[in-house]
Amino acid sequence: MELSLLELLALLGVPAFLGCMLLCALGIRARTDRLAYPGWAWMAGALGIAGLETVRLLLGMESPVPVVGLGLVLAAGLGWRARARPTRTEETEEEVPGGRLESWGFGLVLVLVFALLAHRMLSSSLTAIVADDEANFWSLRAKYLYDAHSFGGSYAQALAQRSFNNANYPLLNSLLQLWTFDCAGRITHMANRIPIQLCSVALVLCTASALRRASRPWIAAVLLILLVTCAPIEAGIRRANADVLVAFAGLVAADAWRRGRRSPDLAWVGLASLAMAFLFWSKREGVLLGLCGALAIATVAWRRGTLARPRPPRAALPWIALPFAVLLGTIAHNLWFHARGSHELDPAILADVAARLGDDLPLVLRFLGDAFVRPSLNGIPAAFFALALLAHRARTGALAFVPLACLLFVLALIVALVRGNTEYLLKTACMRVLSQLVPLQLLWLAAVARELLAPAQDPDAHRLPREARSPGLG
Amino acid sequence: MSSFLFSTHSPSSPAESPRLGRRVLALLFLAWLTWTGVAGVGAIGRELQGVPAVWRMAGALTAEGRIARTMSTSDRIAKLPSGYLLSIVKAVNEFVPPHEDVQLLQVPDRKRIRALVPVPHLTFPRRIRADLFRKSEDVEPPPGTYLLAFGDTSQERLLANKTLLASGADWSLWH
Repeated sequence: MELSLLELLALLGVPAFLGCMLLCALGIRARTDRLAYPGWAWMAGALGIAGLETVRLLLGMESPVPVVGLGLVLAAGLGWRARARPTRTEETEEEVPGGRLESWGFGLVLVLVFALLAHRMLSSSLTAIVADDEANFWSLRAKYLYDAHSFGGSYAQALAQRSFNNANYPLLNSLLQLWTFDCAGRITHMANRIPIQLCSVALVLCTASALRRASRPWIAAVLLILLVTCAPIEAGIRRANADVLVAFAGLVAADAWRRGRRSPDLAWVGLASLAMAFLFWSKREGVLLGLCGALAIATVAWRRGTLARPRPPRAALPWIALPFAVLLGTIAHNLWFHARGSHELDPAILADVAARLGDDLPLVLRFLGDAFVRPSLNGIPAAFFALALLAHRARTGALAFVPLACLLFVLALIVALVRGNTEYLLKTACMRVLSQLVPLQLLWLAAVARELLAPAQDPDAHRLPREARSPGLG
Repeated sequence: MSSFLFSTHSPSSPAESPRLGRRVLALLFLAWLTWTGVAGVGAIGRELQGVPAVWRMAGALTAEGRIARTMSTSDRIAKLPSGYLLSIVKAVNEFVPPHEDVQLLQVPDRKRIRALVPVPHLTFPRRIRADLFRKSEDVEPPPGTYLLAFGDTSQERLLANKTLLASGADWSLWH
């Protein structure tokens, strides 16, 4: 092992404690959802520890102990203050009932999937981080931060000399790896994958819980299998890349939105805000996905005439501010250091997009068409878009925004691919970016499947009031 | 569900055609779910067959062993002798102080530069640079520079006043 037991305990225990306290402040406890809770706690804790690391770097402190110690005390105080707050329990939505055999089957699949995740984590721990994106910028940036103990020194010098690619990417991944270096007291070459890999585990936990609430156990089990056998998702747990962070946060945000739709109380608004902050801090595609999701939600609400309601509680406002703070922080960092990425959006190229469309669009569309049905994505995008087009049920319920959000995301992806370096981006990045939508698409498919496979309705059902006919998707 | 899928009720009226469409969609969805689900279980089964070997290896290898294994894989991919890259990593870490730059000299080709990509990740905060002088005869390296030279260095003018620190198959580290 690269870490001692004590170092490993600090690496996992501090974010876990922070996460539990943050969730406690929102009124979310383990009994709210026993399956998703560890995943939510890891997400909140990872955000917390990355925030504390940022403060420590801004202060230029060599050791993170004072800031992290203070953060732990503050988090404990927050949790203690909120102890009297009633626990948010799942009032609006229970798991969809299934037979005993079905439920056992789902449990068995869950065990199998976790065995698989453990195997993949162990297998990746045999290889040092020396190649690909995980080494060339995520891990390298963490090394510079560890070396500089601040945003100045060798870190600022490396940015000025363009010592690593995509310097304008958000910092969450690198800050989590920096936390590993801090726990170890040195630069590690394998263990710094652990906090990122745990986001994959959290993704599976949260997806399993969301799928179980959206559909019958056997459908949830099959969709969970499809998730973990997706090639880019598999690669996500083997490497310390940020694509899995986007997929994870996107899923949690949509799930929190779905749960809180009927009663937008502090718990779900707070959880959705944490997920959005995580999304914005993970990768630039995270910002794109967040914007597409917000636009799609607003469009659906406008069509339904529900744009102005429901309003979140006043206590949720600081939590809602969090994603914007993260976004502003990233923009400020990039402006301060003149940080540029390898795939910059050049306005001159954008002006030329119409001309490029003629050249590259057929290539991009052919690739996307092939990717949608390719076994490496298990044909999930194809099934998703086909059902979104054909199933009437797709346009109802809390998740009705998902097809529009995914469509906007894919359109933005096409523009990004067409604007230059097309063949290289198709070969190296396109499948990974598409995989960021997979958990969201699976959740939506589960909700549609529940409606699609429900027993036929009474022929007179159309005479009943809309609310009484169907609970709607999700 | 079976009553829904296999109802004998024929869709004779226009009002029932959406129901037929729904059944067709449901059948297609189930077929896709079954097909990909079975394939997924098969893939998981095949992957889990590797569990004993991975656990055995994980139990046996130390952190250094894992790094050596990674570099040995990189050697194999770049068609270099076994232990080549690890020996460079060890030499740089041993002889070059942190935050110093190591300049590459007489790199045979671009393939070799690509093969050396894993090295700086394991020697951080020492930096391996190939950009200061492309042709050795053009530019003098600043005094005190560490040089990682490849091939026959006996005629290399730039190494005349340097001390040999370490050497391997076709490389040598100078200061």
